[in-house]
Amino acid sequence: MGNNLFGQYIYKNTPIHRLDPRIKISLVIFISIFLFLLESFSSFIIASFFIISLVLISKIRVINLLKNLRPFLFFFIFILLMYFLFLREQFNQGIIVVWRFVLLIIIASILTFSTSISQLVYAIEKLFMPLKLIRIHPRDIAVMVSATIRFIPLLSSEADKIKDAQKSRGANLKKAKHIAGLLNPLLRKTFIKASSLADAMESRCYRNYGYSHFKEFKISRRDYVPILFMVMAAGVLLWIKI
Amino acid sequence: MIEIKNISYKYEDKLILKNISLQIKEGEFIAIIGHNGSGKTTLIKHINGLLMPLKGEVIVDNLSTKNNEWEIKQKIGIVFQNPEDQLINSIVEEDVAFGLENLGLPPDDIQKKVINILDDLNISHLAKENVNNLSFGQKQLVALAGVVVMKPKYIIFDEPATMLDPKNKLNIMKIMNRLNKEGAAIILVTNNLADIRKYVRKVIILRNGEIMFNDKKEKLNKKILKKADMYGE
Repeated sequence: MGNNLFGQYIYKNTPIHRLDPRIKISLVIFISIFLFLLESFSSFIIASFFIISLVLISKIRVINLLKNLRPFLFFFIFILLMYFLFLREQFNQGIIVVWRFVLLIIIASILTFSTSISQLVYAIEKLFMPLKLIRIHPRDIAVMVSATIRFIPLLSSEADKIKDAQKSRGANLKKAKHIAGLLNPLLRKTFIKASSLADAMESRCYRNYGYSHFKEFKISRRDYVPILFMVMAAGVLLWIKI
Repeated sequence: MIEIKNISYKYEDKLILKNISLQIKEGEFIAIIGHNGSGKTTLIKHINGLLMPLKGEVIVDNLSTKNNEWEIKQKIGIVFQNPEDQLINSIVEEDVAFGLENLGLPPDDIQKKVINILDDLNISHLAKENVNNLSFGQKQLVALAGVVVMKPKYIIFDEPATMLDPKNKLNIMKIMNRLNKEGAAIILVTNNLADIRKYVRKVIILRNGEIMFNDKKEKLNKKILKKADMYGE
């Protein structure tokens, strides 16, 4: 599956894995917004300690996190370079921007590593319930998200196979004209896979009403602990004036 | 009983199925064979209502696919050729549960049924695995579990062994035989004659969208197979 670890949930018995997915998504949104409010180095150090502790609790391998960060390396270097060349007096600000992105990616990775697709789907479905009022079925959205995440590693592997086949026939994929040779078969395969998946879903009686769930999540007392922890962390950061 | 009555199907001006009529009884083990492009997959997609015929009708246990699609899909399960394209959820047990969720069963019932079917197919150790980390043979078993757990009366296997190694192929064939003995009708779609040697009792040959043979396996001979473009020198 290459290096694409998105959607590569691994079951582990940790408090973060056991946390209600609705709470997890809400916390990720909360932390992400909060990260945009932080401004000083000291607040970022505290936030980093907090996020590192989440990584340790969730027993996620650091190597996997680094693999998720690697595709953004060029982007980070670019930002720092721009600050260095054009806004040298605000270079610290550039470090903060990159730092913020790194923390955001780590937070998103913790969510995807500790939450299975169907748990994510369950949470999205429940959080989007109000959309029913405007006749949009939350299950359709949730299944679309689920299928997209499930198929990312598959399509990535298909792209690798096509690339290898093209290279073995002398294609130079650095040239724009040869990229079409990669995109055309990949798009064709994507549509075929989407059609096959739709058939498989229909064959297994898919519908957006009258369905149930493999696991029903109930928000318990232990789910409130991280919320409390978050509020406390936010309080500390506000106290030291962010 | 599945009754296919004079169905025809056209795709982009090409007639894929031409006046097909046949009956499949409960508990049968039949094979639908034919060369590539003979219309096998199109035919089975009509049986569970994934496709609607241009002409004619498909009746399953007295229900027409035209207005009872959902009920019919509960009676007819399909295991497709490529398991990669039919696994919807990322975790094995959650994928197996997908069909049962659609039936609206209570979570406790779903969990029990999932545990039982994984145990039955000897893959309970994979319950919490990510499907992307499984071997091809294991993926095919998970796809099969997702269909069988719904207890369909008729199970269609669309070239299930094409991409499998001999060991996994044999395993799938044995499971098919066992499911048949437990009461399910098995419809095996294949273009490999070796697949029909052991358990299949009746064979239907499709050629260019028409049925050219529909009888007991024993009545198949070289001449018929040659005519069906199914016999290699």
